[in-house]
Amino acid sequence: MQLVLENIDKAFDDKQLFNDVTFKFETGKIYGLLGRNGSGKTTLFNCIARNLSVDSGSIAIIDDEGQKMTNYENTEIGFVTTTTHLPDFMTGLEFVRFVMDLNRERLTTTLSASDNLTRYGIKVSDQNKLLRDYSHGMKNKVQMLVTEVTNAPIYLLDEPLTSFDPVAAYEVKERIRELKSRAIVIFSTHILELAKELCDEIVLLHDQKLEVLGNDKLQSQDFEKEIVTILSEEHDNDALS
Amino acid sequence: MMPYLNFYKNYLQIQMTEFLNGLWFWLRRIPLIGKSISPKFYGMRDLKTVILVVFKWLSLPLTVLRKSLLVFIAWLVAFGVKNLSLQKESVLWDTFRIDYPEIFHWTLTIFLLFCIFEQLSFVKASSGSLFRGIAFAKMFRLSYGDTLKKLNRINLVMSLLAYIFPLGILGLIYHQSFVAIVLPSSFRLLTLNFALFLVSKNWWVDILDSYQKKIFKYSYNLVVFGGGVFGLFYLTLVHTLEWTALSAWIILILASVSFLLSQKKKLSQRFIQSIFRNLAYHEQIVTEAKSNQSNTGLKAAQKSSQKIEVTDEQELFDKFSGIQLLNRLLFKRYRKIFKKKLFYRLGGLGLAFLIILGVYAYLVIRFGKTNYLTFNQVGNILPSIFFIMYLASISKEVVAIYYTKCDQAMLNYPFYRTEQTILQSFIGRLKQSFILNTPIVVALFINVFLGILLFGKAIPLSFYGLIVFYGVAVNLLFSFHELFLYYILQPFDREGGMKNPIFTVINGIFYYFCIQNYQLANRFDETTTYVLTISIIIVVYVSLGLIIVKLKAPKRFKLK
Repeated sequence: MQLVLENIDKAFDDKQLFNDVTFKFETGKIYGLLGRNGSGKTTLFNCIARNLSVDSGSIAIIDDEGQKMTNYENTEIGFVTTTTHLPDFMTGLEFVRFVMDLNRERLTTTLSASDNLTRYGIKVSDQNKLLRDYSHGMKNKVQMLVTEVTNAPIYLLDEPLTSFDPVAAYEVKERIRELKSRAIVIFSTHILELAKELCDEIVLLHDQKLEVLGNDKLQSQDFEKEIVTILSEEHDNDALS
Repeated sequence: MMPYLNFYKNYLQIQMTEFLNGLWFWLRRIPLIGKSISPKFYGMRDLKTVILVVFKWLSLPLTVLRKSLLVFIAWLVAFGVKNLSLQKESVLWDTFRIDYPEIFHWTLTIFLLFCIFEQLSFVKASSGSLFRGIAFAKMFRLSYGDTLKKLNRINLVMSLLAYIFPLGILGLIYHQSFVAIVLPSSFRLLTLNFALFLVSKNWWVDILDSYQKKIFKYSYNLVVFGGGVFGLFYLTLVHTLEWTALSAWIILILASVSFLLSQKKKLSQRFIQSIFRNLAYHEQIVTEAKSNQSNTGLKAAQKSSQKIEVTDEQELFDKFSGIQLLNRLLFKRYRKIFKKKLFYRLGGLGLAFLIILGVYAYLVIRFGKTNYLTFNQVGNILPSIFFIMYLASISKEVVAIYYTKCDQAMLNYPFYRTEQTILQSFIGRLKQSFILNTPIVVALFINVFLGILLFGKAIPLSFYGLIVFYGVAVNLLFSFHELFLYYILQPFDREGGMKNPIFTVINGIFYYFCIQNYQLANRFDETTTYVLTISIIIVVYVSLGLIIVKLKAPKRFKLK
């Protein structure tokens, strides 16, 4: 399966975020999307998830038979946002159970709602508490869980590990590694060590374009320096213009 | 069928769960009894399901009653129009009859027009049910298009079932049961299917986009509503329309065919994006309306981040230090907001000034008489100043600015919560509020003096001194009251929301006092006694308040 971006343009008022962006993401890899603040990483995710429209160009999913889908459903995208979107007056267990009930045909798990929550490090005693009383990290876990269990061919993870404790972070990383065998995973982060550890390919969003960082650079000792140099060039160009 | 039933069951359970959990959550917050209510209820899934079933059954008659009321209103209009159209010279109520067949046909026509208008908000991507559906789909990882389609169809079926009873009664009265039930039900299904067809097309979204432009908006509304009213008028009064069994069959067949055709129709992606856009606009309006209603000035405070004025602060740094410097800096940097607020209020009072002059000029020219107000009548005007000040005082905005732009962050630091700092800060802010409210009070009293000078020539000059005293007291009260409550109750939570019910209750009492001040004034025989009494009450309130602030504020002025 492939996610194909063709000649994408997107601007907000005077700020051009993407200019004629063309890129191809494929199943079997975890892509690390890196860019400076305000470069448009979240906007790109929103365009792929069809919450925002692009000004021109197209975004399509090409299935294993080579069929192109430009009119795909938003539910075919598993999108984990930085800010959580959960019902305050529902317990963690109730919410996960309802999500599983409503998405019965597309579940990736045979475990019960409670077992799934336990798998994500949410204790049984906390499962019957209202989501409004959950900590930020716990809310993130629930959001990650419900996205993971509802099967999707594409997962967009916008800084998903920022508020996880070490144990949960380790577990979620393992889950993300499992996902790549059946889905396209695009992972945005500012933590370069994490990107290096988890990603198979680094994609830089800079100068309104998407650009792959060579595999040799990903493995090199100077990975961090390399990224900073490239992204700083963009900043310097901005400053000059 | 089964997927629809399962979906609806889950949908109802989710709604009921959120409602019951929310109710339980608030019950647990009731003082004294709240602590004895167990949180175990949150985990009782089966009990909630039982409550859902009971609640659904209990709400059934209510739903039928609501629908019956709508049918009754439509019938009443038809009944009224028909009977009134038959009256010759005067309305004779005892000649009114319900058995004219036109009443039945017209009732159905009105009902069918309701159905069209109901679908209009759907195809315009701006109905409340669409917004709720989108939020639901987003939260539970469901397909937007599929969820909206399911919800609309389910709502239609539930609504049709509820309409069967009132429409059946209508049919029985006019001996047309088949037409009364089948025709409106089929028509509703037909309009929904047509709406689903429209929203699956991109050209429809192009029309919607043009609807955003005002000129088109007005034109469309004129065409749709004007056309609707004209259609109703023409079909009922000019053309004697009759709904027959044949027309019911035709619409039923059309509805069935359109149902089959719309099965595979999907809501277009652009239509869903239009819902998101309208939702964002709707949320903005709701937020603004809420902040307007809450009357806390938070809206102004939250908007104010872009309005900081760059000022030369060196003079302040030379003159002041510590908490005094902080307050003055804050006051100076946000003065643009205060200026704007003052400008509008003073503008309003200026307008009142011109109106008084205008009325005076008119009375002089028209009647030549100018001496209208007696001493006691002036006394009757004074209490209304309380209510005007309640509306015009700038203290609410001042307090909100203090919280959102300063205290929300500073109260995290222990040095800011010391007794000395809090008291210094309170006094400094009281002075600033007083200064800010002064132009409003002065403008208000200029109007009062102008009125007395023009219309109350018999009033002695000594009374003016008393009014000035009253003005100072009123200013002191309105500058003090909001600040006092803020320091004692600190009603805002960390996000800036209002969280203290006692604050709301006290403000309600204060509001009531401002309105009822007129009644209070009537209890005094002498205006002088009223003015003196009320001024003394204010001075006593402020003095007691200052003592309370000194004793309590250091303990109570903290982040919630």
